[in-house]
Amino acid sequence: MNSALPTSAQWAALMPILFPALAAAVIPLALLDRDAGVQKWIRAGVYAVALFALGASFMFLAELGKQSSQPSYQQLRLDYLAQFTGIFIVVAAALAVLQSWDHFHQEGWVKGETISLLLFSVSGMMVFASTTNLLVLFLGLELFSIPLYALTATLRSRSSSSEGGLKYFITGAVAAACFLMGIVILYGLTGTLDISVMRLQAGTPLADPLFIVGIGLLLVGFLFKVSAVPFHQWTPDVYVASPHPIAGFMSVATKGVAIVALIRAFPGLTAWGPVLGPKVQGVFMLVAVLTLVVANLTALVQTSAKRMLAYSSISHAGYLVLGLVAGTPGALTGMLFYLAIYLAMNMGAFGLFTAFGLVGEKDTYEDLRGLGWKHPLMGLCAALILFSLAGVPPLGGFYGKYMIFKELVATGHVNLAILGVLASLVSMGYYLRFIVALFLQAPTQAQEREATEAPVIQASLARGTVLVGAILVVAGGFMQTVLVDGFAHRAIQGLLGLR
Amino acid sequence: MENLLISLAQNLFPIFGLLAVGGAALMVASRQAVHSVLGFLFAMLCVAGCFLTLEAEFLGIAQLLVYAGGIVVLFLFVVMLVELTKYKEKDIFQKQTKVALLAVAGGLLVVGGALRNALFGPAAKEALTLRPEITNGAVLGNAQAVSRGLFADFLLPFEILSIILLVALVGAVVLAKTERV
Repeated sequence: MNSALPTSAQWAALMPILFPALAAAVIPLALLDRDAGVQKWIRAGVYAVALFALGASFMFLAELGKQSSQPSYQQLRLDYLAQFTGIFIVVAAALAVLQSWDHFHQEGWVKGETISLLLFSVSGMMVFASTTNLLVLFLGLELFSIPLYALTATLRSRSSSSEGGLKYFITGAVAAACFLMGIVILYGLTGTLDISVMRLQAGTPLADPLFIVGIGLLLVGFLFKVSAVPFHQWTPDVYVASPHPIAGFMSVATKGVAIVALIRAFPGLTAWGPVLGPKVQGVFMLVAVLTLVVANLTALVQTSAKRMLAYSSISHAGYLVLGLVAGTPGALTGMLFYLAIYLAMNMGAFGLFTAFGLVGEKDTYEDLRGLGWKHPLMGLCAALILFSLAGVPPLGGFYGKYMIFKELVATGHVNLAILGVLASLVSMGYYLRFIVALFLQAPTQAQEREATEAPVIQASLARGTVLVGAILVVAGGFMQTVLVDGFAHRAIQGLLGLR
Repeated sequence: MENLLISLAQNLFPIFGLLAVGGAALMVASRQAVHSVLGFLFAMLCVAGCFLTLEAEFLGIAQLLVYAGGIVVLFLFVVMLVELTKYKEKDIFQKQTKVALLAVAGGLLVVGGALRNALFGPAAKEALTLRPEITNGAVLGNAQAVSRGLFADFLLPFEILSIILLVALVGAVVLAKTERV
């Protein structure tokens, strides 16, 4: 019998995942005290514990890069791609925690358990991003989805909140069931749960119709989490229903880990053989085209800025899936760079609502009128972030798209690249509407009166996160080589075994 | 008759499987919560049957205990507490007396016939041994195989599952708690 305790290398693989989970398990215990005077301090403590856990997880993840061999524990394997994704998730979660402190105080209620759920979700995402074992992949999926279902429905007093939560739960359960069914079929046909082994194992019936059905069901589960059309209907409702920081976290982290898992499962087109490979590529192509067209056109006609951002996040899924269509190492690297910039852009964009102190259901363009002049720094950040989302040249968002389109042209998908450029032009329309509302429209008299009567908004932390987002977006435009060569390229090389 | 029984016995797995699907369909389709729970119970019993036909006795019995025993009772409690006020008890429980009597009589006949055969019928030609390879010690028993899987090969997924249960708990607290500063 081998010894039961993990070795130190195995602990190194477990630590980044254990820390958020442990903090999340401790936090609900701390909240039992109902004394109002004590609760204020407990609340601050809860946030401190959450940030500490994320920081510790970050430290352990940063440590991973220095070791020559990547640690693994059972079905977990923390390679460079897992390290990249882990840091991505931790940063997104830290920004969301900081924003939620301000947002919940603006709303006038704080449930510390929401932070606990957020941390559980972080653990789940790390599990999801660092395994090729389908069973563990499924458990990671559930571990990060279930907290998000509850987080969406946090605000009981608002009916749209529980509606969004229920929708998310039911559609998510259906997608998870499809995913599980796919796993069962693949396991039944090949006798292994490891998708990377399955691919290379001799005698795998890669062209068997049933095998293709299994892969298709898996894809449904992934694409649901990526929120690509036609599996996108839940996205706008859920984002609008959930608190602003949670919506930002969901749009960034859920999409990010799902994309990384897709990269892991479908690394390049040759990986799945001559019959299945083109089929999968065809699916990606169809999904990308549908996503770009539907999401961009729907986003144009929204009246709620938050709903517009939800559709915009769907359209960004379209650009990312285009990278999978190209499937070259360069395109996959571009996708990781895109994800990093997307993190800065979307956490910043959703953070704007908190930074401007918009609470409740105040998320239409009308509510944004003139706010750019009232908070000049935030206005500037908003402009930078939104232009980057649209893909205006010197900013980070442009280079993400550029890297993907370049590889698309190189692999002969010129039509798709043209469609992508056209889609970004269309997206300019709705992002400009946001900026026009911020700067060029004067607030109505009612809004002016309300603004003078309202107490001073507490949003310094949220403003800080938006500022960080804007700085990252600009830095992504001028110093992308650091990020690309330092992390993204190494992650993809490690995954494909190039080097 | 003998042939029919043999072919039934050889196809127990698909039979149980189809019945389970039927139970699940009943659970989804029925408009009354109590009927849904009964459909669920039936589906779970059939799944336990599937496990038994696959020689996974431990899983089969665990399925019976946990699902058919624990979870269905829990569901029934919820249904009773939430739904019962809507209907008059008489409408649910007191209309089926005749059907129930018939079913019990049929069941008695079958069990009585089997008992009579076992007690007074001819003796079997050879002693019945379930899976002789276990008694030889050639393979490990079912419980050992399951525990080896849970606590050695799949320890990590097992622990992740326990965290998922905790998440469900915390999630329920968040949903039930009222908002206040």
